[in-house]
Amino acid sequence: MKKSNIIKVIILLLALGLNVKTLKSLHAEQVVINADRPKISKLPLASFHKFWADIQWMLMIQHMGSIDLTTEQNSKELYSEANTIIDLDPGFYKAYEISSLMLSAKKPQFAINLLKRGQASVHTTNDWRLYSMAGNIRQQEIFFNKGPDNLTKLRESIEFYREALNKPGVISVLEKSFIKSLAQERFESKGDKLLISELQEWFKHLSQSNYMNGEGEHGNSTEGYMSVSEEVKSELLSLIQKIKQEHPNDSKGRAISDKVIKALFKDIHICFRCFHEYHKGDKYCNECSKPVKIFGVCSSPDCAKVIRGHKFCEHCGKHVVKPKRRK
Amino acid sequence: MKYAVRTEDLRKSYKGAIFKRNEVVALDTLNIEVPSGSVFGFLGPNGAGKTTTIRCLMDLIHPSSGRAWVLDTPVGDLNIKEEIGFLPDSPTFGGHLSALEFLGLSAKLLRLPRHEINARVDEVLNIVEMKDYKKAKLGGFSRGMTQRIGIAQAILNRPRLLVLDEPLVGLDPHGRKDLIDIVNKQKERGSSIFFCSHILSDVEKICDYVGILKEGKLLAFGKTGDLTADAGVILTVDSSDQETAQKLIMEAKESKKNAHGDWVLTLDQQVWEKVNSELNLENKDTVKVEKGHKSLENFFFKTVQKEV
Amino acid sequence: MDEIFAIAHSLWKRLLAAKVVYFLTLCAIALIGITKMYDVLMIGESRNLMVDTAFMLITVASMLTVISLAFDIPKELQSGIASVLLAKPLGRTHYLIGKLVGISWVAMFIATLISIGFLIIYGVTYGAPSASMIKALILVIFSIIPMASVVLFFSSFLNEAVAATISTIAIWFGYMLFAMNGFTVYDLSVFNMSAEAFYDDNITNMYLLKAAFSAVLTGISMVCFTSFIFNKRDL
Repeated sequence: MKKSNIIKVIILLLALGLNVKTLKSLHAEQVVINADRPKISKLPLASFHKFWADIQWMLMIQHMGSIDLTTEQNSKELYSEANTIIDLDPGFYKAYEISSLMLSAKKPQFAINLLKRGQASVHTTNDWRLYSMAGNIRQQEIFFNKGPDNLTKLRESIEFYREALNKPGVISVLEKSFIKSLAQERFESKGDKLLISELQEWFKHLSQSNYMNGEGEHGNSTEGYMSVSEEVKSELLSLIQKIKQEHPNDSKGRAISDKVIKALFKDIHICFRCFHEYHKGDKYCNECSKPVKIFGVCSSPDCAKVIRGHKFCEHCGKHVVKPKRRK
Repeated sequence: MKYAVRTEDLRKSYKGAIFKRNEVVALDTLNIEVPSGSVFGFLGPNGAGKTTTIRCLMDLIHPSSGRAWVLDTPVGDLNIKEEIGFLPDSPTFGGHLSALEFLGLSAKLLRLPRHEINARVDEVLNIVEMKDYKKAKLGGFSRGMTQRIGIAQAILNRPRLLVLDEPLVGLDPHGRKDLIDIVNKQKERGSSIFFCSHILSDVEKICDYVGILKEGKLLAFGKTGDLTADAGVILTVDSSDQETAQKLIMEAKESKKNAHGDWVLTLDQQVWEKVNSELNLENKDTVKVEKGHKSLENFFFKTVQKEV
Repeated sequence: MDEIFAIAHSLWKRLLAAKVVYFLTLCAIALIGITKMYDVLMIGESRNLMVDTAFMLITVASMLTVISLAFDIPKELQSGIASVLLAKPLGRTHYLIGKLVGISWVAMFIATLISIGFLIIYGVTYGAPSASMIKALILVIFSIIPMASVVLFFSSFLNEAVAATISTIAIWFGYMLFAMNGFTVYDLSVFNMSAEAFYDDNITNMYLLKAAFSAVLTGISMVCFTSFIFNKRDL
């Protein structure tokens, strides 16, 4: 064999060996960079899977546009088309969103399947909307089709909402759906009163979500104080009022209402009828005229004037009794 | 250096496509030794194996067996190609390049020093009288112009061995004369020339050595002067002497009538001596005697036809 | 080395002298720009379409350019041009390397032109492209070397039409060979990071370097392999 051929054989073997090693390393790194890579369809489309997904997407939009009403047949077709797109591009968020919306009425399970695929994809797994939509679809199913498996579906929707609430960027209004579902589940499974269950779940949820130990409105950091948005506060107060109206004698209802109020209005004095704030020295609520528990006045019966300080009354000089901390 | 080209039992066969039947032998144990500094003409009918031989020498095809040397170096050595100029049969050089660009590329491939390339390219363009067309694209050239560029690229590196395959094809008489002049100039420089051609008269003029090939076999090889055949005697018999003409026609190897109706007969030397002694033709008024001239063409046809 | 660059330069000059190359490049860039008009049809996913179309067109342009080699080498062999070149002190392996280098340059040039056009359009439409997108484009450009070496291999012993067809198939399926988990002479799937480009996945510089290394190794091994066949061939 000629010398040049021997050199070529050596170079060939070296290059091949090194290349195999490098390729293996590259494949391993590909999965680290993008965990969805092994999920991509094995169709022989060269490197054009994502482009083909876009073409299929446009065709699917055209197809959707031609549908007046989803039927069994066209639902299957849409489902197949959506799966094709996702096989080609697992990170295609809109495919999950739009196709699941289209299928949710006629074939909710298809919609849930698609959303679950989206939840499993590394590019969309943190998108709270996919979980929220799944929860909503299950809720919709329960609402329109009363069946024996409703409780299972309800629990499933709860889990979807729970997942959604753990994702970044989630909107707060989802909490309401979550809590209502939890209350509904207690109602369905244990027979608990709906409104009371809802209030209890709110309290549990807010406690677990570190809304406790927040700063008070007056700037005091107090234990057991719940710092929530006005929207949530208003929702809680509305619930408390409803409980009072519908279950006035329910001890559980009263207990949880008191707990929530104490947690919400730690350092704020409110009228328990209209929940309007009243100030130092007030004897009656200036919103609904209900008598209120007076505070911020000198403890001496001869004085009983509104005081500024915390140690001595500036009117009579007597010691001021420090208000007891609400536990 | 003793030999410009040497082959030893050089053989090239092409196996048939299906089941390796119908083997075609293009070259059959070729043995030639072309002394350096000489001009060697390779002759043969179409399909004889001339181009195959040349391509073997240029390492463009691999012989089935045997060996070959160029400039005392085994064929296959890359560096010796710097000393060789090659013109293939009916060359094409890529129509997109201009003559200048093509010769520049050839010069680079021939490893000419960079500072010499431009000057040398201009020089060879002058030699082949193509200076006016140096910027024209090769694709627009006629056959003759392409052939001239082919010659130019063959002599670019002042080769010690010039290998030309049918160099005279496509050239007008002026071009042929120019090529012959180039070949002679190369010979004066001390280069060896190896070429094949069908134009026997030109081969006879310029070649020192000749080889005749047919169906892959070397039929004759040697100095040009040694190989030209004895053409015998030419007799012109007057049309009035039909009797003598009748007797001679039977003995002649060639007979024809000229414009005057006279018989022109060619006889071998031996046959002439015999009939002359019988009929005393030299002294007859009606018979004109001329000595036949030696020619390569005669030798060629004699050699080739002998093998039929 | 000079011979290699001389052959490469000749090929480069011939291909880039063709005006159709620039026309098609402009068409590709225009097509990329047009994808913005599909925003309604894509329901707001026109960015997706633009990026995917760009990668597709750059890959196709590269493929078509390297496949032109499948016409170039057989034509030179048939017409005798290769004989004239190889009668000079130009090794057959050097001839092959020169062709590979030349076609790779041309394809990289065209791919780079289209890439620059795409990046400008993308920048104007959607803002500055991410580092991953630029790296993914560079990977497509690297993929030209293994593609060209595959074409070189087939064109060294097949005629024009057959070489072009088989090369196209080989390149097409070269992207699927990841299924063989790296036990292959060439694997183009490592250069396909178009999804990662769009989703801004972090393509590391080390990945880029390894991919470049793999491209060069593929080129070397294919050239060695091809030269065994080409050297045996009668011209």
